Amino acid sequence: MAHGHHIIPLRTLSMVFGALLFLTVVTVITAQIDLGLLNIPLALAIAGSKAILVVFVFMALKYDNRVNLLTVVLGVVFVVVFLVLTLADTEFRGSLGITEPAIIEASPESSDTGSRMP
Amino acid sequence: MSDESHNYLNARKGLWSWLSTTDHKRIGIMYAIACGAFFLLGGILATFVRTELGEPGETILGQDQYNQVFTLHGVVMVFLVIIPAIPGILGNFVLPLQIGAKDVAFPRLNLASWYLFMAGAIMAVCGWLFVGRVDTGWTFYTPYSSGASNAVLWLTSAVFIAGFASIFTGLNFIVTVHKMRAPGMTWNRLPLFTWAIYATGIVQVLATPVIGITMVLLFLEKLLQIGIFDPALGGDPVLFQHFFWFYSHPAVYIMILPAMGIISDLMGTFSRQHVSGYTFIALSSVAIAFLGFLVWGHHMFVAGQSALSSIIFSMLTFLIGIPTGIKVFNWVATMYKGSVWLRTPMIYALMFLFLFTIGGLTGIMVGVLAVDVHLHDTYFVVAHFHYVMMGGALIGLIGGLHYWWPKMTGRMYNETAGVIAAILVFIGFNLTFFTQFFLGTKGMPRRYHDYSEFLEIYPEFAVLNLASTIGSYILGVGLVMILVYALYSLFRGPKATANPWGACTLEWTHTGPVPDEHNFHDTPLVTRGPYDYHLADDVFGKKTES
Repeated sequence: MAHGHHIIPLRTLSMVFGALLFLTVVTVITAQIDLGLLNIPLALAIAGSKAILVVFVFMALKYDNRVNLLTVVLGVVFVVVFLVLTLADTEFRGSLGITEPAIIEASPESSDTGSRMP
Repeated sequence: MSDESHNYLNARKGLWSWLSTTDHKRIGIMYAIACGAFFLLGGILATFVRTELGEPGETILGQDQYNQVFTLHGVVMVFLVIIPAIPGILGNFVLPLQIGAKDVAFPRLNLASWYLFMAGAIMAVCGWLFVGRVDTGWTFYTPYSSGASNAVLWLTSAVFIAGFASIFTGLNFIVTVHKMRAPGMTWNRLPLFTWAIYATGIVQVLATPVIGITMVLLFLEKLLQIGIFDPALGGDPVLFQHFFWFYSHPAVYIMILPAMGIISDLMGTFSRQHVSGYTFIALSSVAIAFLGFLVWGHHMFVAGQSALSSIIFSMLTFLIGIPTGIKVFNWVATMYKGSVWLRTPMIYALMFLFLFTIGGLTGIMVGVLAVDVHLHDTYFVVAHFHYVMMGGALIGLIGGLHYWWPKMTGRMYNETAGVIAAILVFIGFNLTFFTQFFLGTKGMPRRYHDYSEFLEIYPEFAVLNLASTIGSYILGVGLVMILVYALYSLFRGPKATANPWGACTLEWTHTGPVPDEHNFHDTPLVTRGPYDYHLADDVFGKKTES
């Protein structure tokens, strides 16, 4: 169907339009509530769902060549990978491996005493 | 077979015929000239760096100049040489020939890629000459780049533009491999160089936009004072490193994957054997391409990244050793019981095997969290990535250029000169960079123009740095020697036959000594694999170059 002109039924388009409006309302409502760690993932999940509906139905990817679908899916997968692994840093900074500050005493036996690297 | 007197070099004449060409072979040659010039520039800058470090104290460069010179060396070598060189030169020249196509899928886009690359390159060099000298290092880390002069904007814009050339080239190759293969050229008959360029194309298309986005964000931050990366504006400098390395680590695979493809072809041709583990080598290229996206955080273990993140990235980093190991073991297995023909390209293939393995294994070492804490930002890391980027990518490129030189120019080079230059490159390279492993483990930090203050504690820094500098001169002599005999070959070299190596792939078996403008008079019908050397002597004749 790469070069086909698939006619999407008006009923389907209307349903997707309704779903997009509904998800927009959900976005506004959830933005008013502090869900802590879930704030960003939820906002992204809603935005992602809306994007999927637009791309698959309005942009007709659902009816297009599978290679194009694979290309889009790969792009999305890598965006998700980027976000998830970056959030694994930004959301967990300081939560592991941090100890109380302490003064490190120079050992009197050390030959390096008194000669610090610049 | 092509008419030998009529070929792509003499089909049209004049400078404009080159600048307006859509012939993939000519575009490959134009990349070769451009990348060669930038390699020369990058090499001269590297010589300045090593000369400064040859003796303790300030010698030929002040500290600011030193920072500026190593920054430009990094930018030129990474963005204008190693990333574009193999896809641009050999990908363009060889890939359509190897799959039996008359050109790439989008010839005009291919030419546009070259112009974009040149625009980015000229902008980078002119910016450095006329706007200001960036001293941030090739990584443009914030807050250095946030606080630096507007010259950073020039350089980042140049990288942004050159990035589009990379995206278009990758896209072109992906579509070409999918759509332009000759009848019978099934996926399991693709030469491994083509497989590698295909996998590289995926990385180019998926990763390069991120460096573009990063540069735009940096641009916006500096111009509009929006806090994205600069902590003074409320930004997060480590976030810049996430963005930067999400592209730049896969970019390491943009550099090394095509070189791995070259080595696979060289191993098959010069061992006169079917490449061992063909399917595994092909799929390991794709596996490396994908795994390469998951490991960027190993550049940031000591940058303030969360411990959780560092643990995840460290574990993922070890995974990439698996497909890489598959390749290395299969290359060795290809030579086993083969009829190894030790010509210059094969010498470079063996060199790659040795140097890249050192580069890869030291990469695993710095992938270990506890080890990296000690070695980060020391000369150990400098040595490691030069073993990968130069010992791997550039040595692969040089091997590939020697291999396809007769097809590109119709001339042979002097084999003895080739071997001598290869030996000089090998000795020079190892003397330059192996010493840096010792410097790094002793704690010598990178990006310092002077190490006099360390000598009281580590007097061996002086002799190690001197050895490294002498090595760089030997390496330089070897590389200049290659340039000299290549130029001699171009004008005076003996004419090459159509298949001087007795190779099995289509660019050797189905074109004349120099391919004609449209590659093939008739579309080839492929009935065998690319390394069926058990058929080669019967079907294509014995090797003719002695």
